Amino acid sequence: MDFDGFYRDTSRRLLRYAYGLTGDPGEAQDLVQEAYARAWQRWRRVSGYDDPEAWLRVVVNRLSTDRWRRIGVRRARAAAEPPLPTVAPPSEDLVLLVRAMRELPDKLRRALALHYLLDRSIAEIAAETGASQNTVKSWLFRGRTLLAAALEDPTVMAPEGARRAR
Amino acid sequence: MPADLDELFTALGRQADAVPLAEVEQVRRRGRQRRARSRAGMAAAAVLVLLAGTGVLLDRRHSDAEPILPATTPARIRGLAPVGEPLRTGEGRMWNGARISGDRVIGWIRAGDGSQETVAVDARTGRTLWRTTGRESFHLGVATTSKAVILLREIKPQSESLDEPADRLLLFHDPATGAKRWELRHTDRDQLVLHEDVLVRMVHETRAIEAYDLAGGRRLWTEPADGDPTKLISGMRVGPDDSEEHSGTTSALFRPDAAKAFPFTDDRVVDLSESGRITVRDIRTGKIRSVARGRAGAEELFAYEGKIYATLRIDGVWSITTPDHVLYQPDDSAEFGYPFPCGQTRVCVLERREANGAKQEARLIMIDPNTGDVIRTTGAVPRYGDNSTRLGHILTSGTGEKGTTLYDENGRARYSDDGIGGFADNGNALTLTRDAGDGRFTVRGVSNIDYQAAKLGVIPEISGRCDWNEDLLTCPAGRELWVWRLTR
Repeated sequence: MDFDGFYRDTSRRLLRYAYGLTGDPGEAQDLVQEAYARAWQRWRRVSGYDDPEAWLRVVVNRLSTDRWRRIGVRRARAAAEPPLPTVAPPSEDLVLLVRAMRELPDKLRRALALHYLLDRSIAEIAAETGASQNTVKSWLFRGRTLLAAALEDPTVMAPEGARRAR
Repeated sequence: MPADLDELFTALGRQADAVPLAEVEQVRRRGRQRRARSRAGMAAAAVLVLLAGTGVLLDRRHSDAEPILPATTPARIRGLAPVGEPLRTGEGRMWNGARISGDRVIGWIRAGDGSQETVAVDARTGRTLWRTTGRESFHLGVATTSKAVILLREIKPQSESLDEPADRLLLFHDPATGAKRWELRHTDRDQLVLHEDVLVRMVHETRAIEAYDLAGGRRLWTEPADGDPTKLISGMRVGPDDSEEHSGTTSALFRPDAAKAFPFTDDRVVDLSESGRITVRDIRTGKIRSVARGRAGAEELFAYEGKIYATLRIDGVWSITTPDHVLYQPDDSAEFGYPFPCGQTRVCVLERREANGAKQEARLIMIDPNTGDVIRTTGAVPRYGDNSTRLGHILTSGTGEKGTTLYDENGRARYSDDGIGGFADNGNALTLTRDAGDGRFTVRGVSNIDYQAAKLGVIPEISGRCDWNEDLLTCPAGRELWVWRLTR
C-alpha cells in the first residue's frame, strides 16, 4: 500500500470524522493534515497495521482534545502554511447540530461520528473503542437523546453552572 | 430516533465532503519536516551562545487595566506591563512555547527546516541571557523548574499508543547559563516524577525505580524489580503545591508542548506493585518509610498530604480507593471523572451525567478521604481538562463550551468563561479568551477572593502554550516571544 493511494482513498473519510468531532472545517482540515503527516513520517509501520485508518482516528481523537489547541493555537500554527480554500457556511440546522455535538462527552461524540458519518456498525465501533457492544448501544442512545433534546430546544445543553456564573 | 436527526447527519456528511482537502504533497511536506527533525541524528552539537542582550525594561502599563475593584489579600492583579520588547525571531520561524524558570523566561522554536532553538530571557529586563541551537532529533518541547531547564527530544518517532515504546532523551540545562548538565535516555512508556531536587523514573521494561539528582544527574538510588513488580509511581503533593495533573507523575516530561511541570516539594515518593503493595520511600535516599496493602489492578495513583489514592475497577465499576476504603463509585448514568485533591481534607470528582434522560449536567462531588462520606454535591460546568486547587477553591480548565470555571470552597461555580486558565497565586487566576475574530486574546485576572474579573489587556494571537506565575505572564505569539509583568 503506497501512501499517496492511501491518502487518496481514506482522507475524505477522516475529514468527515474530524468534522464530526470538531464541527469546524478549518480545524478538521488541520487535524487531518497533521494526522496524515504523522502517518507519512512512520509509514512503514503504520501501513503494516490491520487498520491504519483506526490509527489515524486515534491521532485525531488525541489532537482534538488538546485544550490549548481548542482556543486557537492551531490557527497561528496554520498561518505559516498556505490557506486551504474555504467552504460554504452550513445551514442553521447544521449549526445547531454541530453546537450540540460539541457539548457531548468525547466518547458519545466519537461513537456518533463513527456510526453516522462513517457508517460503522455497533460491532465495529466496539472493536475500535475497546468497549462492549452494549456500551456502544448505550452511547449511541444517549447521544441521540441528547442531540434530539438540544435540537428541539437549543438552550437545553447550556450548562446550568455557566448560566449561574455569568 | 427522530428521522430528521438522520437527515441532519446525512447533511453534515455532505457538508464535510465539501470541505477541501490538502494536496498529498502538502501533507508530505509537513511529514518531511517532522522526519527531518527526528532523523537528523545526534551528531550535530548544540551551540551555546551567551548573549549580553541589550533589551531595555519598559514599564508600559496596559491601558485596559481596570483599577477600580476593591483591594484583596493577596493583592489583586490589575494589569499587564510588557517587559522589554518582544523577542523576535526570523522570517519563517515561530515561537512554539514559553515557560518560566525562576526569574527567567525560556522560549523555544521548532523550525520547519529541522533546526531548533531555546532562548532564555531575563524576566526583569527583557535581556536575552543565553541561547542554544541545534539540528538534533525531533524537539518535543521544554519543561522548567526554578532549578532546571529540561529539553525533551524524540530519538525514535512517537508510538501513538499502538506499537513499541518510543526512545526519548531528556536534556537537563542550567537555567542561569544554558550549559547542559546531564541527560537521561528513556522511553514514552516509563513513568517520571519531577521533584524540585530529584527526578524519579520507573523503567517500564524492567520495572526498576531509579532516582537522580536533578541538578547534576548523579544516581541517588535504585530499587530493582522483585517478584511483585512496580506498576505505578507517584510523588506526594502537599498543601501549598500547585498542580494540574490527573495522576502522581509529571506529564510535562512527556508532552511539554501542552502541559506545564509542577515539581513536587515533599520528600516522599510512592510506588504501587502489581499485587497492590504500597511503599512510601524517601525520595532522596530510597529508604522505606512505610508499607501498606492496597488493591491489585490500579490504573491511576496519586498521593496528597500523606494519603494514597488509586482508581481501579471493582466488580466492573470504576472506583476511587485508599488502602482502607472504597471512597467513591459513580452510578451507571455517570461518566467517571478523575479524582483530585481539593482541600486539606477533601477529594473531589467532577463527573458528567444525563438529567431527565436528556439534559447534560455535571456534578462536583466532595468526599471525606478518611471515611468516604460525600460531604457535598453541587452542580458544575461540564468539561474535560485540568483541575487545580488554591485555598480550597477549585479551578477547572479544559474543553467544553465553558472552558474555565472557578468554584468556591462549597463547590459553587462563581466565575466561568470560555477561555483557558489557571491560578497565578492564592488570590488570583488568569484566563485567556479569544473574544474577537482578529485572533487576539483577552487576558483577565479573576480574584480567588471575591471572584471579580478584571480585563488586564489584549495580547497578540498565541502560537503555543503560555505560562504564568504570581509575577509574570509569557506567551509565544508567532514570531514574537512576549513577557509581561503582572501589576497589582
